[in-house]
Amino acid sequence: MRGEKSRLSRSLAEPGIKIIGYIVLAFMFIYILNPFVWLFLTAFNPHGSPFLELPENLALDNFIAIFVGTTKMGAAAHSIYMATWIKNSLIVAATTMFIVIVTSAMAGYALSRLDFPGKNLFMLGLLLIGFMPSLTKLLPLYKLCIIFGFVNNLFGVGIIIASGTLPTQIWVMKGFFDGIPRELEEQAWICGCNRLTSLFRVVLPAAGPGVMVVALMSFLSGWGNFTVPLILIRSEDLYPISLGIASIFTHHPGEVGLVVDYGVVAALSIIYMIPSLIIYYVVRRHLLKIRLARMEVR
Amino acid sequence: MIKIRREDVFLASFFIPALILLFIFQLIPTVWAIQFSLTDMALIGKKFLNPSYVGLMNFQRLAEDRIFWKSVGVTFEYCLISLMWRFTLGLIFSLYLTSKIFKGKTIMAAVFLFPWITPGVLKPFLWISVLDTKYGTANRILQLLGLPAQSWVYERAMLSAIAINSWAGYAFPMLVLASALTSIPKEYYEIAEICGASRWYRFTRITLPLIKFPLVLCAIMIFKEDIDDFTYVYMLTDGGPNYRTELLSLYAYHKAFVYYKLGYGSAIGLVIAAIAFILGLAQLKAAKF
Amino acid sequence: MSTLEKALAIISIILAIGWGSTIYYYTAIYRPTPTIITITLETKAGLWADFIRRMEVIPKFEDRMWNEKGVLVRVRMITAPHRGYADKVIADFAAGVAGDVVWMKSDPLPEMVESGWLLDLTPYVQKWDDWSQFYPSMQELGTYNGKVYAIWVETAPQVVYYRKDLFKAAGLPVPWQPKNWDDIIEAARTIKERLPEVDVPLYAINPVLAAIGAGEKIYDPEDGKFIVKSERLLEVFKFFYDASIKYSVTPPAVKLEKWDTRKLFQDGELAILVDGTWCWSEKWGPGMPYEIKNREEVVGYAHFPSSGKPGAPQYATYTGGYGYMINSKTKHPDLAWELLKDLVAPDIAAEWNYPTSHLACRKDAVIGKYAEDEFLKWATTTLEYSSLLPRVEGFSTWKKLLDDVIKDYLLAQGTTPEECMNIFAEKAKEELGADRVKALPPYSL
Repeated sequence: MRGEKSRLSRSLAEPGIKIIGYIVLAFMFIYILNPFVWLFLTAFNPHGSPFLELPENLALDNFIAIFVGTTKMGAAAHSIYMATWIKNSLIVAATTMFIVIVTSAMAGYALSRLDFPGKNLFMLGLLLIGFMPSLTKLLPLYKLCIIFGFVNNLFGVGIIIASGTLPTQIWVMKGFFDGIPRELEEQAWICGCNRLTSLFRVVLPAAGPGVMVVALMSFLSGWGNFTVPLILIRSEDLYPISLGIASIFTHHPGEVGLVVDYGVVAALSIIYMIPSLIIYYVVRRHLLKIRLARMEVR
Repeated sequence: MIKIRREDVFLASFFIPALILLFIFQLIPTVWAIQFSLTDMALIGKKFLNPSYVGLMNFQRLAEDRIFWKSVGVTFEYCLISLMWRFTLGLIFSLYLTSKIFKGKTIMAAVFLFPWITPGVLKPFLWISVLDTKYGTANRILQLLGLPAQSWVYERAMLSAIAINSWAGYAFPMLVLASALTSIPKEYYEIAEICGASRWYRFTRITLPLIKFPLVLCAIMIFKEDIDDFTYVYMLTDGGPNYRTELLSLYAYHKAFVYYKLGYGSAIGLVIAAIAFILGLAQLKAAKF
Repeated sequence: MSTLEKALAIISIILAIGWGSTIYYYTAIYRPTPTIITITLETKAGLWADFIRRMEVIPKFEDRMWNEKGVLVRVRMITAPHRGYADKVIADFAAGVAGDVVWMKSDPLPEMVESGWLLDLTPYVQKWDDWSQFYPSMQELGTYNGKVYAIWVETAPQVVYYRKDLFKAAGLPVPWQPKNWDDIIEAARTIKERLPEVDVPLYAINPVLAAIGAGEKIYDPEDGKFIVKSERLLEVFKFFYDASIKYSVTPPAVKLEKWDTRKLFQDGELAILVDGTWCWSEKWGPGMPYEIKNREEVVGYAHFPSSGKPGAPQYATYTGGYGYMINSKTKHPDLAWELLKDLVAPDIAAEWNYPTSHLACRKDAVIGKYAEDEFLKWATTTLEYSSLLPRVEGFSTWKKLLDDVIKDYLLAQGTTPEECMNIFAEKAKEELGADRVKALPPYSL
């Protein structure tokens, strides 16, 4: 037995495979990271362009411009409200996160613990409910939002985005709850807790990782979403960053690069990515615990 | 007995918030859109003021629409190849992440997840800087190596769109796969080893069947994403030379918002939803859910 | 905490939130407010909205309303990003939530009127002295079915730009004013011969402009049909065929792969470019992304000539415009009109158009720096011969189909001009309907 095991690990550790593995990894890194090279070089380039160029001099001009508020576009100068945009994006992302966590945790728990006829159909229905392409639902959704007063309302934007990611997140939460054995709850019941208390005292803490993963995914959804704020937000002081970038940067087929300071846009984009990176860093350990479905033993 | 039932009801009430949200903001617009597809409503112009019910005429027209059928083919091509790539990349990277022989897992994970974390607005711009024919990074590198520059944004638009989509979308399958792989108890492998099973046998008889369900569910979610999102083909060729990259979702957008034929566009949307739905069901049946 | 306590806690929180929001809601309704009238102004975020704020149009308007009419007005700005702005405005109108005064482009005006979205401004305009200051073509551009629906602030015709330095190096005359399309092709071929390092001697692929240059009417209002086959239309296809296929002075890839023509022009890789007047300052101006140093010495400009065939005008250009419209559902049409008047005032127009190299739409806006700019002075002469594009439902489809055929067949496959025109006619018949298209003799459908 021992001999076999070490033969296996020996073959895996063959230097040949290892080297090939690292080379392949290197190519993969290049494939993954190459667009970002442009991003970083241009952000520090006072004369940015939409294409990769080695900057003549590296400077923080673009970042300063963002926080001070004006670009150097001569007579056509306009200001950038970075702080406002960040705040708005945070509100949207936080709303999405909060709503998704609460509703998907509840629904996921119920799905995990409850058994009823047609349960499979129900779960399927949940997944497939969002199958209509978003653009087809655009006009009806717009009218609906007007009725609900979501127009020009950051919380409304958060709610809409939340309802979009909900099916996936419910599945994820269910997976996490499935991973918490019922014995744990039953133990709590024996000790005198009823369902509700056991939920708060025992299950939720154990589902911590699940909440974190869903938190990351819903945050990314809310933070990066462009189409929903585009429809709903109409005052500049309520623009999230995605709209902010679009208002100073546009790419339309047939129209190449409009009035833009690419360096500033690149700098802005980097700042745009930072909160996502922070939350990822906090949550990273739990990302490998996603369970989409119970695994069957053959 | 009564106690359990009350508890069950209590538990069932946990569905309510999610159901409310989904019902109001997903189901109702879907039904509304279906209603549009039965009319000849236009977004603008005379037909905006006075749309009329035309029943299934839109769908009849669809059946005869040459471009629609071409678009169906394009969509299948795009979605299937994307799906394959996203899973392949996801699998490769998840193997790296869960293997014991490669070091630097933290860096790997961070790099692998970088595209996932980038906000959607940025992705097109990042790639234009790479793919542009004259000034893009890809062609500059090719020319440095003495190879001919390629027309990524035109001739190879489909390839580029799939490449970008795979780049942006392998992260979710990677996470699902990595999670699934790490949750397979080691004992299964050890027992198989003892019985003299080869690596391939272990992979196909142990690993694959066990991760079947998460894989299928993941595939359904990915398919739904791909069938819906046309950002990349839009920015590259807006439907491509002679509709060669006209995804169904892009076609629906064109019909509804460029030609203003909202009814027709909604009908296309409905067809998209139906296709995705049927395919999803088929996948689940095949995996014997 | 026992279950009971927990339940009580939850209930009290819910009650508190409910009570609090009810109070807030009711006080919001019953809070006594002075009768402030609010009207909304919809425009593009960033540059455009900032301009309005910088010129303090809104505070001055609100003061004026108080002083002149004793009315308290508050103007709220609604903005949408530049990307997809027109679609957003249309969606807003369709959903019924567009602003009272809306900044919009001229292209969809006919359809918007047909949808009943726009307020008829004719009664206001008839009583307005300033109306006569607007160029007739601009008045016409905002008119549909005899009624005025929009007042324009900016307009930008297409002109021919050329690199004087490259021309001199190739031995071509500077200044240059081509008389017809053959002149243009000749110059491009000379550049290609003598300066082979210039990748793109010519880029003039603007089908609609060429159609006008050929003297084609495009739409016949008498029978309501679009012209999809005619000798003049054939000239258009021939022009592009000569440029791209026959003499290869315009590589098809430029359009197909969407090369950045402004950057190519900046780098001297493109010698002759047909583009809008705004490129002068917005692209190649000082401090801009594609800045050309010594712009006045390096960049030359000329009128776009006609095909030179009989029936074609001497020069051709067309221009749309951007300006303000009023929502037909506005509750305060008179106030909206007053705001519109302030927004299109001469000094505002001059201040906006000068840095962006657009043309003002009114004669009395030719003041200050705008009046002194050499380029703008020359560009204004184009308005004398500028045509209006047909403003009927279906024109945008006609335009798109023409563009598609040129891209997918002529440029991509080198299809002959005659064949291209046949294909175009077929597609137009399909999309627009056989009863809305026709062919001029000696052709038939």
